[in-house]
Amino acid sequence: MSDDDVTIMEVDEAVPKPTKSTAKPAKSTAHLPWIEKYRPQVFTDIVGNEDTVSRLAVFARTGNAPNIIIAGPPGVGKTTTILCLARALLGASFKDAVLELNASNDRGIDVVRNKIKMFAQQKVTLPAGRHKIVILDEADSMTEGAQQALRRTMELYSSTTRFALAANNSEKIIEPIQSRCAVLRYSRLTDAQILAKVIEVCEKEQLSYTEEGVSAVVFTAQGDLRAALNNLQATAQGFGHVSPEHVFRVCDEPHPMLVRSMLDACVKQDIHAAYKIIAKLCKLGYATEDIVSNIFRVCKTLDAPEDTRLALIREIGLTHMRVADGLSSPLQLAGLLARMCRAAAARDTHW
Amino acid sequence: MSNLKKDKKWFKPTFDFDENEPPKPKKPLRETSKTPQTSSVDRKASISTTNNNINFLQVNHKNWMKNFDPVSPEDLAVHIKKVQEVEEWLKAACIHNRSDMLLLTGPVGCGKTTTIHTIAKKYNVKVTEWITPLDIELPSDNGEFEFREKQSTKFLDFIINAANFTSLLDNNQNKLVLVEDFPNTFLRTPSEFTDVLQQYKHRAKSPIVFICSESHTEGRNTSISLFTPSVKDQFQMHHIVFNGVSMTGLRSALKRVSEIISKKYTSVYNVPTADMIECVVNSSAGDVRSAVLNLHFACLRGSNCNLETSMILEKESKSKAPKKKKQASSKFLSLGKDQTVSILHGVGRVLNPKVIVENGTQRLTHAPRDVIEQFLSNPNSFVNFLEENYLPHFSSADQADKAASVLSDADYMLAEWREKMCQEYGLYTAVAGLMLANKNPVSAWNPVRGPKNMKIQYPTPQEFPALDQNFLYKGKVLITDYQTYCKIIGNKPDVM
Ligand SMILES: Nc1ncnc2c1ncn2[C@@H]1O[C@H](COP(=O)(O)OP(=O)(O)O)[C@@H](O)[C@H]1O
Ligand SMILES: [Mg+2]
Repeated sequence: MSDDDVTIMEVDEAVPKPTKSTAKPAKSTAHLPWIEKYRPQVFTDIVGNEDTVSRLAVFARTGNAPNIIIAGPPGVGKTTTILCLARALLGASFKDAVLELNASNDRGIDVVRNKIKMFAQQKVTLPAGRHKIVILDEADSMTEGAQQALRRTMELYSSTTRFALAANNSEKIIEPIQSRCAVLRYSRLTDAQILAKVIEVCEKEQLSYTEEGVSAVVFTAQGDLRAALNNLQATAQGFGHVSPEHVFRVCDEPHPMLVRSMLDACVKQDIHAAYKIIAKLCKLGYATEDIVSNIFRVCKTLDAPEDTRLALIREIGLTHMRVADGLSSPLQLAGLLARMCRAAAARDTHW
Repeated sequence: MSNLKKDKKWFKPTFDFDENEPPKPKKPLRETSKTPQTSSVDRKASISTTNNNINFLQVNHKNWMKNFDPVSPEDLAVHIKKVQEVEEWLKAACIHNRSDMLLLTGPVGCGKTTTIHTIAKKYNVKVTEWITPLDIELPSDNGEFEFREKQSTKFLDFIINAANFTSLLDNNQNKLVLVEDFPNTFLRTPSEFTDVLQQYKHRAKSPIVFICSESHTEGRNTSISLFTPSVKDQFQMHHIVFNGVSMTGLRSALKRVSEIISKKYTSVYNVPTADMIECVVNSSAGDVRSAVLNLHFACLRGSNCNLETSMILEKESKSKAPKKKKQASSKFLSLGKDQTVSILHGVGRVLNPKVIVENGTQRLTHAPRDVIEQFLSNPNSFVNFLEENYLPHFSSADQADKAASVLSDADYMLAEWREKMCQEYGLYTAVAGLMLANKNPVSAWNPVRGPKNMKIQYPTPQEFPALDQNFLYKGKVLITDYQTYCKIIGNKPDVM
């Protein structure tokens, strides 16, 4: 297959048109976002979820692919996998035989009914066992009406067209569609997988880094390789060197060490120490929402008994919901601390 | 491409699964009508051979799912009683040449459409299906869509024509109109639909079937909402409700597929093992279509090795606590619809928590963090499973009380859809909470049940005024109670 002349049509981020080519540096890649520059082009380069990926690789070789839904958290390679599959299946016909629609396109009922049907009716000559492919990225953000309209379309064009859907939450895909697709699930990438990729990119970019620096990138990513690469690139552009300080600065996130010591203080029911840290974070200008979600991430790996962690996460979750409702004053954070201290104190009797 | 399609008439889309057909003649009905859909597709496929022999070679592959379509009513996985009921209705309706109406509902993938087509074929009844066409012009240069004709008018013309238009080629065949793809306009203004039905009743000379899928996860059931009790009454609509396909039904359907494979398609598939069929049956939740799809996925040549490797991976990761019996099902970890098999695993882990002591501290063998990792893309279904099954696993009321309280917290958090992270909070709270609350898990074997009563009932617009806005939480929670209450007092909301 010659994929040299293949151009990825659209990508789910609002990035400049990504001209692919890791092998052929004909086009300048200097200003390319790294997530595109290092987007795997073939199945073997995709990190993690090996089981599912290898199963899809079978279709790439033999054709006869069913409709698929790939469900999983952001930045684990769902879109990448689908693009790899389409490229492997269609080769040079990629351009004519793939319709990619993502959340930034309007995907109301009319678009589904018209654009997709038009595409499905178009005549493209493909080898046996190959089909045109409609890629619906972030399909869980499609309205129910649009999904309903898709339902029959999927069946009617089954002789010429396959659908590949990517979604974060498969529950938002209506059942009739799930029934017509093989549902594949991706899980978050492990920290080790992300770390390996981050180091690989550092080396390719000849970027200087410290071990703590790349670990910080991994922490900010939380299993999301896209976030990892974006944060790494931002750090590289801002500072030219990857150290934890730089990483947390560019990510505009509180330093998890601070947050961790705040949580430790809560567990010890030392509200004064805990409050000092929160006050500092507020003064530094972090948004309440960012602070809360950071607390959650740190708490997930906090070295504490499970029941303490549960009690804390429950409080964090409830606070997060209030913040989402618009109550984002520092008072909410102070209240959170108090409740976390109390939860930690009560846990022995509670459980 | 845009100017190419502009002059096409509205009925064109009915052919649109056929890319090779020459431009349409003006009379739509004769050729639109499909005498069972499947065979018409085959017919088209053969037309394309003559036009274009590049695509043909493996037409079987293109439509692989059609290879397994039931041929006669005996092949259907649907319960025999239901098949008979449909058969009786069709016979009676055709004899009298009346505009009888049938509403066929049932869960997704239980074989509604296939049943109609198969029975119609048996009695040589011509089925014409309405497919909502491209109903608007392509966007004009300034990006606006222009509507051409009223959707409901088109719809009515189409179904009446389909019911009454007779051509010489028909041989006086009986006709049946099928509607599964409802035009949006009806969902917006149901009264338009009633008007259409009225017209049909008076003017049509053939029966009509409406098919609606019901599903548990959707809040609103769009097309079912068209068929209110009064509508059904007014038009004396016969209503047949299909259930999800039984295990036995699924099994025999898959055995049939497997026979077809071994007779005709061994070059493409490995013949499925009994084990594999069992796995697919278990993970399909009564959905034949999904079951056949998954069997295809699992048996395709070349994919077998992957199943093996995934099994080995599973074994390795479980080497500490070997579970011989579970191995067969673990193969389908990421395969089944709704991931049912791995949900069963997960439910087991959460409801039978095991604690080990390491260096003097207690620790759960399966960390909640790892358990939730698998279910981040379907947190609600997993929590619903936990809710349905947790109680028999608890041995003391005290602990069950804590469990109920964490589940309630989890429900509350999961209802927050604006903030993605809340899904994770909710999932973690439910999982860790249940595991920690259950200090003395009941060791008896409890079969895992699928969630039943988790259907959120949204209010209809008519019900809104009857509700006190002050008590609505995001329009959801209390409504559920309200409707349940109405059911108890005998469906008389006015009493309130
Ligand atoms: N599993 C993976 N292996 C290699 N790169 C990945 C993987 N997952 C994500 N990436 C990187 O992150 C970027 C975004 O991935 P994408 O497939 O768009 O994620 P998703 O669609 O799951 O949100 C890709 O361009 C790629 O650089
Ligand atoms: Mg994506």
